Amino acid sequence: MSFGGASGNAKVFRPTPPDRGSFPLDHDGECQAHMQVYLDCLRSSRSRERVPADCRLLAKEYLSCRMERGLMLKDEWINLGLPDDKKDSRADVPDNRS
Amino acid sequence: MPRIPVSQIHSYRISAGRSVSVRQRPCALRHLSTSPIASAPEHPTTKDSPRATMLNTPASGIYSNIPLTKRMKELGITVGDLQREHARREQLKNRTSGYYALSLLVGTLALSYAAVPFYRLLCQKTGWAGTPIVESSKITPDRLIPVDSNRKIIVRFESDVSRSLPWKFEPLQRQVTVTPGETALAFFKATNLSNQDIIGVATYNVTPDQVAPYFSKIQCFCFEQQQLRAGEQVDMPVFFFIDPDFDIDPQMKHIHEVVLNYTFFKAKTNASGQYLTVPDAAGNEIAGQIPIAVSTTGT
Repeated sequence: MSFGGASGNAKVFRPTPPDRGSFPLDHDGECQAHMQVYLDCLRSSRSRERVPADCRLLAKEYLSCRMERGLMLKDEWINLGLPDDKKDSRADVPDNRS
Repeated sequence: MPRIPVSQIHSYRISAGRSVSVRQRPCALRHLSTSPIASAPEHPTTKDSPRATMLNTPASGIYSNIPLTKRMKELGITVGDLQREHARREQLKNRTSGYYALSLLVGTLALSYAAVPFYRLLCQKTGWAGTPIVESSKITPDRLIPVDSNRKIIVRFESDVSRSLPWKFEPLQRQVTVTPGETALAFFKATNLSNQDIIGVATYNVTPDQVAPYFSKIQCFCFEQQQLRAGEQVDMPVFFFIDPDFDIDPQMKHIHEVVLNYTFFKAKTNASGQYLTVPDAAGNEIAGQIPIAVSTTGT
């Protein structure tokens, strides 16, 4: 463990459970299509710099797919750090910088 | 203790509860007092013993014209009695000090044993010394706003599977670049390669260790038993973010890469296939439910 190695380091890592618990498993692959689109977006060359705004929208699509199928608790997008549905998504995401 | 010549004891008085001032008393008898509280528990005193006489002599004024020796003769108390009484009280005082010292020692030992769970509790409540706070109030919408800087952190994903678990477990993306405060979604894929239904439990590790207090998971698949049917393949998402305070922490200035490592273990079963215990990150079995706080997986 970190018995001898962490003598100078006061901080010891301790895994913590996630805030909202565990995702129920998507056994039937209901949202797999959304996931694939999101992963393709990530793999594209644009994503080397940062997760682009439209990839985050695809992530939002995936999570809303989960929410509809009962694989995730429904929640406001603002609580998940994703842009809201009502506003214009491009203008809302504040990371539109070089 | 030296014998006190009787001739020297001429101005000292035996009084119940009252004593003459220190300067007037010969030093050997300085602490001698006849307060019943100090002497009573030690010896059962009979009515006519010199000690009883000493205890029961009433006070008759602070200053007395009768010399001490004469009073002593009247009351039937010898110098030897005085000395014995003094010795007895010294012994009592020493014993009391001894008890105090012993209780101090025991108290210190008890405190040092109690310090371990107390410290743990304190850290969990206050997040002191880098302990992550496991409270929903930590993840509020205002923490999920990306910081207004060009700070980029590359989060790499790694996966591990316990040797006793016949699963294939891998991340579906090598890395994700995020800003502190920005939520990100990542996926892992697990395949049950065997022909039985198996329940696995995952735990995670974040490297470097200093990032751990800032790494918050909104939702993932760890710490709960996940069952995969024989031959089943399933995608497991992780929804996380790095706390915006990471950007202002000067100790984190040089950190640009974070490695998130998930490890899957097999949940243990008994002979009839019932799941009993869940292994913790070190592979040791923990009886009962899912471990909330486990030790590091040891990178």
